[in-house]
Amino acid sequence: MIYLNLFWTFFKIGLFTFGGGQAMIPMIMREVTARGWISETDLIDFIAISESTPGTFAVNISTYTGVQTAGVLGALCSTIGVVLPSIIIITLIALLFASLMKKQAVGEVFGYIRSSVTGLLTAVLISLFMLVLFGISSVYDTSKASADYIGLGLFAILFGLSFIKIKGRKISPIILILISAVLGLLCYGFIPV
Amino acid sequence: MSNGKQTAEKHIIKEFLLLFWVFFKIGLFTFGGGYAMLTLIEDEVVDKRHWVSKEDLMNIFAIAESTPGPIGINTATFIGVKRFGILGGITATLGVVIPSFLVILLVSFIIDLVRDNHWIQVIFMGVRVCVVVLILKAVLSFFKSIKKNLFSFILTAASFLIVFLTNTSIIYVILGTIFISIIAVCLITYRNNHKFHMLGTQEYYSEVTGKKLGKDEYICEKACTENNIKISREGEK
Repeated sequence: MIYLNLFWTFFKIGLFTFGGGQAMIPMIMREVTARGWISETDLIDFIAISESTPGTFAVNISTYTGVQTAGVLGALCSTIGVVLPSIIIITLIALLFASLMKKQAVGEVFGYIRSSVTGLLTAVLISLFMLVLFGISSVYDTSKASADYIGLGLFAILFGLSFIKIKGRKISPIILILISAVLGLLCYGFIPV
Repeated sequence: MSNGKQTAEKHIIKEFLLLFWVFFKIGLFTFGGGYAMLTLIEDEVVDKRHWVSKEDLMNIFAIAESTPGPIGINTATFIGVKRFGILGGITATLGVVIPSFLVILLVSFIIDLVRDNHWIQVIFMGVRVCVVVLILKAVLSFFKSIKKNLFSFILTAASFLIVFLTNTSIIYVILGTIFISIIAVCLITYRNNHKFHMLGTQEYYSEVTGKKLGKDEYICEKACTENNIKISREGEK
């Protein structure tokens, strides 16, 4: 049953995400795109949309997957699924285990989970890099690889822009996405490949 | 009597509605994920409403960051529970979730309408490159924040290789990490505690100041730190 499936998948995603929305991307890639609920390209597009719409990435992506897969009821199931672990765990901690969280050893274990998440996110980065800029969807199949030179140029420009500070503040992700949209329109729309 | 009870009930409902409304606003006006939410939460909950102190909020952020689940949701739940127990937690969480839920329903509808438009596709070809840049930035900041020791780097490399080269579920990688790091942290803590004091030496050192102590003083200090009692150095004499 699709509703139960959505709920359970996002419950697992909520339960095993440590360290904010971006840490969730590896799980989503594995659990959601593997089930064919949304495609990898759709996921990439949606990460950009999520950065530019209100709310946390977790709720946004679960709502989007739910509604695309099984309508509004599906969205309800997946969103409740992603939020429920937080409610249960945080309630327990707030009421019972607040002192436990202050223990140094507990903090260290969470620190090491972060190390592992860093590795997971690096894997996502490299597979997305290969998918978007070289058209490679699996490390084991590089036969269809073809470099997208416009994309590589854009990548260098955007990466450079992301370090520029205006009035002491870095360019926000939303502005960067808007710039990339305009550049994409100009480069891909008008440069014949 | 019943009149007083009624006003008390009304007061509670009003407080719950306020809790919901505050987090609804936070959910509606946060762009770009959980971390962007934190400044807004601080502004509303500490500066405007005085629901928690700034120090408490910093502790809550630290817990929200390290426990499973999205950080914005965790923080909302925590503050809600602190205020009115479990129901408060649910109220605050609903408040922060409902705006994005509704907005995304609308966005999803619009995406379906414009998905096949040529110009939209062209725009998103540029945007996809930007997403790769954003994830690269996220990876860089993650690398900055992790512990700089061999064990931490091995965990990072191993997780990377397992997920990149095989089809293993992320859940197993996280569970494995939790298991291995609990063992490692226990071993390290055990070794550190026993290094100086259990090797048959008769010398004891203060863990706070590093000064040499008598055995009784050392045991006293150990007991104090374990029970979170602060010793004032002046008061001793």
